[in-house]
Amino acid sequence: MQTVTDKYPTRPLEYFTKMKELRRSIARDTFSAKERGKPVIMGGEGGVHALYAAFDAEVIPAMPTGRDMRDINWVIKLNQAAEDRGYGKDCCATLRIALGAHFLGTFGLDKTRGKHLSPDVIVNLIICQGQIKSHQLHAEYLGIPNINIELPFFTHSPELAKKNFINQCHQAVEKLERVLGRKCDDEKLVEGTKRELRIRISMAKIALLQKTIPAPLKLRHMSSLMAFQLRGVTHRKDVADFYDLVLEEVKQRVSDGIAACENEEFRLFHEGSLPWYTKLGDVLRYPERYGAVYIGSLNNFGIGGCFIIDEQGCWDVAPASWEMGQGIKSREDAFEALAEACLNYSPFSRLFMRSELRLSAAKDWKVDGVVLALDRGCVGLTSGLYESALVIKEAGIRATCYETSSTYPPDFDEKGYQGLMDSFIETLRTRKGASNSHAR
Amino acid sequence: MYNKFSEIFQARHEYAQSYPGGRVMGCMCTLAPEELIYAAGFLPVRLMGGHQPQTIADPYIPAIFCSYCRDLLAQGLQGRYHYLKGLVHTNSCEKLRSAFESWQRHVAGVQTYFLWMPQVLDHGATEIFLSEVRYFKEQLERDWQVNINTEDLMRAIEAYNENRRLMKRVYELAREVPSRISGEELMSMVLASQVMDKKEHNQLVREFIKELEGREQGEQGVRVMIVGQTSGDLQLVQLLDSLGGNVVVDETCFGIRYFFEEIDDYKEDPLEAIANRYIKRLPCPIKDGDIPRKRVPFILDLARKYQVQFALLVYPTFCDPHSYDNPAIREALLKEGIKVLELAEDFPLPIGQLRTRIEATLESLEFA
Repeated sequence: MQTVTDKYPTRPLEYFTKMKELRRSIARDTFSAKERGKPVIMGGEGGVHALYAAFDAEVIPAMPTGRDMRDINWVIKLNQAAEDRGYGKDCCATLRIALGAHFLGTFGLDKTRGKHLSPDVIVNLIICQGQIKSHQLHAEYLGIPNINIELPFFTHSPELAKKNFINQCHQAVEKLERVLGRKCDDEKLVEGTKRELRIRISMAKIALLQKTIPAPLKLRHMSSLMAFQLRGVTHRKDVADFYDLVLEEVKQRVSDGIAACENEEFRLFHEGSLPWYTKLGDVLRYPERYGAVYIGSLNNFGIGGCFIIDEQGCWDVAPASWEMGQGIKSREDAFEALAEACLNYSPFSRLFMRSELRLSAAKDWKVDGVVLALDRGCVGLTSGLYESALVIKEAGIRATCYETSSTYPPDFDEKGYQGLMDSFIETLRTRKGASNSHAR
Repeated sequence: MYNKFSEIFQARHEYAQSYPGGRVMGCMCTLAPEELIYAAGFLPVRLMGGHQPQTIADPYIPAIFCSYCRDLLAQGLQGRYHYLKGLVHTNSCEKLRSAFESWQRHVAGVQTYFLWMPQVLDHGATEIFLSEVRYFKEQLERDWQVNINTEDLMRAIEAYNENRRLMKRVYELAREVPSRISGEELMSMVLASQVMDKKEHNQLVREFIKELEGREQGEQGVRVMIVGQTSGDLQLVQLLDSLGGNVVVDETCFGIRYFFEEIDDYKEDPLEAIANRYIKRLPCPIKDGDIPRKRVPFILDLARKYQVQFALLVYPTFCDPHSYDNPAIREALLKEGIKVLELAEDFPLPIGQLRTRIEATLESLEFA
């Protein structure tokens, strides 16, 4: 198939250096927590990181990190260690990595100093069933308490859902005060909440800038931004400031007509799991040789951002509570604002609507095709993907699916994926050619 | 051998279609508040696995999702449950929810209802589920032009509670060594309960108990417990019976988890009592997310009380909830000296393979 020559100017991302520094700084802070007398919370994932700020805690993530996933052979060993103890491929893929790390003695290991960091408690916002079961196993293995805050997103009564969520946050505070033997610092909670929401809004604004043709960023870049959210550090000032910096740079790229991919011809969404191991870049870069660039997904925008979506399916950034005259001054205000963000403005949590939301996003971001990755080890991201593919195809947008694994490399058939993409992009090209000739 | 439960269970579609008034409502999970549905004049029927190839569901649910959720959707698409007026699902496993969503999207003519139940059954769970139950009542009254009053609810609760007491009595009898009850009789009783009118089922269970009390003690077989999720399958139990195993107890959502707890203190606010019962009942793996766990000690307790020698951990292929719990259950049972076999069931069941595995395990017990 023909490749495409450059169409747009491009330039490297300036924020990358800052991002790497920030990651190192977070890792240093995490591993020195005990020396600095700080509690360590195992968490991250969906949000409510402001609670970590309220207890001045450092966070060790439950999700796999680059340290674990860098070496594919090691990743396979981690999986094998979990499997040897009965946790097979149907269990949450990320859990298997973390369990494997427990069993092989590398969980929380500071390799530079050869010391282990043990969390004091687990605190998580639950957005999928595998998380609760995973944290149960972590808590048992580590012998520490487990606090779950669940998003009640399907209730018939939004008011009751909000009340329930807020009550769970209050209960989490009570439990944390008992477990950690320190009081909740409401000022830090408020500050942490404002930062967490600021980041969600920045993330949404960055995502909206991705509507530009050519797109200023690739999905790969968006994913690396989301990593801070999964890492559980959106309550930090340096992270919130970093997102502001990124937003400014992306705005500038749009204003200068800078593309993430110099030959952007087809715009793609990638829904479902992405590899945590080092194949992420290969998966996302492969279509670029044909001028096809992954620019986003409902998963990426929906988990990290704060959106309002109108009846025509147009996405816009949700207003911050302080923009609506609702200041965040107390614990109650903080939980109210977090409830609002997680329940009302997080598209990912609207499970029964995910297919329609994927379609509206695909249209709004002027996407040519959607690629959906089915992961046996991730029910949360895989559920509903076939229905989404049907809805998207019925609306006239091309969609295709492939099987993969986010954490078990042998289950990803790279050649098969490449072959699929070769033919998928060929169909996009044929269709575009046909519509251009009709237009002439 | 008491065959009536098994016969009715096998003919469950005909039974439902002959239900007076024709109001039949399907339930995808044992967490559906059946008492409320029954009080509204419906026959609640649990959707059972059809145990046939599920390829018709392929465009909607990937093959890496559990065979049970694919099976239910396949039956819906094939029109096997064409007589259902409604379908209700209480949130349990995400894979089952996705089957419910596909059913909503692709199976015409069914009024669907969804009730949210938190996965964390902590403080506040009852309040939120009670609100869902109250809303469900309003929906039923509006959609079907019925008035569900307190007396209707109390009558339904009493019928269900009686059913639970009667079936527990049968399970008590199965504790005897050797048991007078075959595995097929025991399990078909609970399966039939989930597809029959409770009052009629109560009558049959009373008749069954009477027969059992006059029955001579059975032969000594290997005492078996089934743990997990059987998709409503009887073949496995029949196979065990034929090989000298005797299922004396289970911890499955088609067995004991369906009926074990009664509804208490229902006279003041029956809906609250119903909501409480479903929140506080023995959890399935999805709802058992806290520490300490509830399932493992309960299973161990059952195994001791029933003098279990062999435990079959059964679950549909690609079922993640059971995959999280099984290592802990296996370890606890092995420590107790109980033989354990894990079976991921795919349908149609590969009976030959199963026979070999089960036979080998039973023989190893015989010669131990």
